[in-house]
Amino acid sequence: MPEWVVDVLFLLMNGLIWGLIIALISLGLSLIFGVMGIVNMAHGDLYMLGAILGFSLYPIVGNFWLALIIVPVIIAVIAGPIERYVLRPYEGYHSVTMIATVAISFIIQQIGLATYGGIPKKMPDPWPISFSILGVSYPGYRLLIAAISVLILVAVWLFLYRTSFGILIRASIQDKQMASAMGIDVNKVLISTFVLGSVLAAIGGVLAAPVTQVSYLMGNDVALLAFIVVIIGGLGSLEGTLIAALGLCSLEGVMAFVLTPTQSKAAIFVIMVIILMIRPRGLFGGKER
Amino acid sequence: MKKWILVTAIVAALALGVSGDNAANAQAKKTPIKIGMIADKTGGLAAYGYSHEKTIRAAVAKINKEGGIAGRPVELFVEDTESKPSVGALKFRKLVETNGVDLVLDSNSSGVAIACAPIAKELKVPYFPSVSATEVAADKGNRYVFQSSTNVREEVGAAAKFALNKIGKKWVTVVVNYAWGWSNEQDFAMFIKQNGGTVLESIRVPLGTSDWLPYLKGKIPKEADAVFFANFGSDFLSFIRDLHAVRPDIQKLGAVYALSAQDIKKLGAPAEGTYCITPFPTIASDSDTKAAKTFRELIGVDQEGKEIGTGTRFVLAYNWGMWETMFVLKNAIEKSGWKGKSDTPKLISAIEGIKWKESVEFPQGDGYFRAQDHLAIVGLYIEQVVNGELKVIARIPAGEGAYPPLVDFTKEEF
Repeated sequence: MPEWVVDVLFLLMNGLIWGLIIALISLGLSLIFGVMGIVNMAHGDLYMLGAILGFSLYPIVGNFWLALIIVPVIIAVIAGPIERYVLRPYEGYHSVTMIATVAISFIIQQIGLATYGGIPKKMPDPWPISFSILGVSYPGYRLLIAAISVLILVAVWLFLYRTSFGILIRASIQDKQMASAMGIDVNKVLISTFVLGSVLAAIGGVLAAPVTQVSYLMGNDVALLAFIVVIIGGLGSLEGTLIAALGLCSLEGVMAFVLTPTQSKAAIFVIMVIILMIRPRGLFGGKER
Repeated sequence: MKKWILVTAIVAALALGVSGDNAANAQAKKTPIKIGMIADKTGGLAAYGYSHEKTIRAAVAKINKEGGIAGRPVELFVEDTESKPSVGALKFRKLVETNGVDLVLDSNSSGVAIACAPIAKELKVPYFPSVSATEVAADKGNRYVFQSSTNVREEVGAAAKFALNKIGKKWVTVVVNYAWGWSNEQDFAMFIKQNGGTVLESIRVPLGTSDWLPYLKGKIPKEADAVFFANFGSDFLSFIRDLHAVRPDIQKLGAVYALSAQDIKKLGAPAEGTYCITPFPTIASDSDTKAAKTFRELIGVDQEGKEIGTGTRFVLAYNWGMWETMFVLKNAIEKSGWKGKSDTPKLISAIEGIKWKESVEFPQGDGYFRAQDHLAIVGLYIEQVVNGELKVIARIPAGEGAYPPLVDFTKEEF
């Protein structure tokens, strides 16, 4: 096989793997917007909080996978009161809730700085094995987190499409007022959705911690990409989020063959603008509510 | 009678003038010399800010314990740059305009230093950054700025012959995409070509990149013997892991910084054999001078360069520069008779060309501040990771990396 083909295939594969992690994080953001109508500016910081908690818990519990189970529980305990006491009082006031999530973002970042510190750190690889793939000794852990991300995405899909509570959430995405009129406890749906979305972001953070730099500002980069994915996929569309995440990240990877990786990242914004010019609601976005 | 009154009046006036002068001197002696520090306490360079602050505080403590500078105590004011040029510039102004500092030391970020250099000139405050960008001793510096460490051109100039003789002839450079990285890339390429080698490819990577595979896969030519890299901290960890994944065979030479604050034992196979340039050895050895050993004790680090009590790794490759700058200031202030901001030109003139000999105050070794470009001219070391340990394998004497000055600040008006 020609070397350039090998390089392109590798970059495509690497992009897809990152795309699965981004899909996990973006799915939470899309869920929160879809059900609650809230643009959660603190979503990246929940990802960061997950990573920092995972980094901190790992030496205490002695097992990365145990930390991966404990961190979502902690995040759920934090996210529930945020929805109930900070966001719910301003339900329906989009600007106010967006500002409120900005404030939450600042608070989480400063708590991260005060407790974890300002120095970016590297978490040990929980599965330090490599596989020879397309001429590269590819870290096995990255393949593992791709597999875990797929499992979680499937689990979320099953929850949303095969459980009765999932039906309630999808009904609320479709039309919250009608869902309330039909007797659905929308408050329960709201808090569950916010917790689920936050937990997904935090799980993404724990999984990404060993392959990225854990710092109190790490959420900013991911948040931007997650917003782009959600916008391109269509606000509130879960299928769109998944397709957009995988598509964008693999495209960015392939573009890095002809452009520099930095130019490839910039090209993503160009793609976003083009898509929005053709389809302002995103690829799978519904009509304005 | 009138004559006596006149003489008495003159004597009284003289006495009052002298006593007033003495009172002013006595007052001046009591007022502290205020030194500001813009430390990179958070952000990508946080490890450096932490250890620089500890080092400077240790120097201040030593100086004050020994009677201060010209009998005056030293007071230190510290601000956080967040490793960002925009924030560093704001904090520089704050230190001078709000806190009233007389001198400013540090940031390890070339971006911050370049942003603060014009402010130092505007506010007429001598500034001593701990940075390596060659531009600081060139078009981005000025008469108020002294580069309190070796710069990239000096470092790679000194290491280039070693690199070609001992490592390889065909190189690829991989650097972080900002001033310090660009300086390393350009100067390394220049010296390698001058000495008969070739640079096949130049790769720039944004600071903070976690996944280096897209930048490295397919970008390093098969015929390359070695990679010269300029990155640090978590970037280095990601880089060394991913480089090993795509080219486990290739030799590696790191710029100063690269191995700073790293736990060498935990790096594993990806780092084995890596060479690194450094102005000060990370690990103490039997060949260390008494001055270097005492310096480690005074700043509170152990044989491995870790802070005693916390285990936090210091960045000795740059900490020495801040320590020695404090004593350069002490010597220059006392020699020039500097009393305050109005004497700043005298102080700057005293520092231009100032020399020092190896001692506890100057543990890095003999050196001097070159008058024309305000660059610290000192010796260098080459370290290598051998069986999971960092060892000094070569020593390059002071001046071997010295290049003709690119500017002459002595001709610049104050």
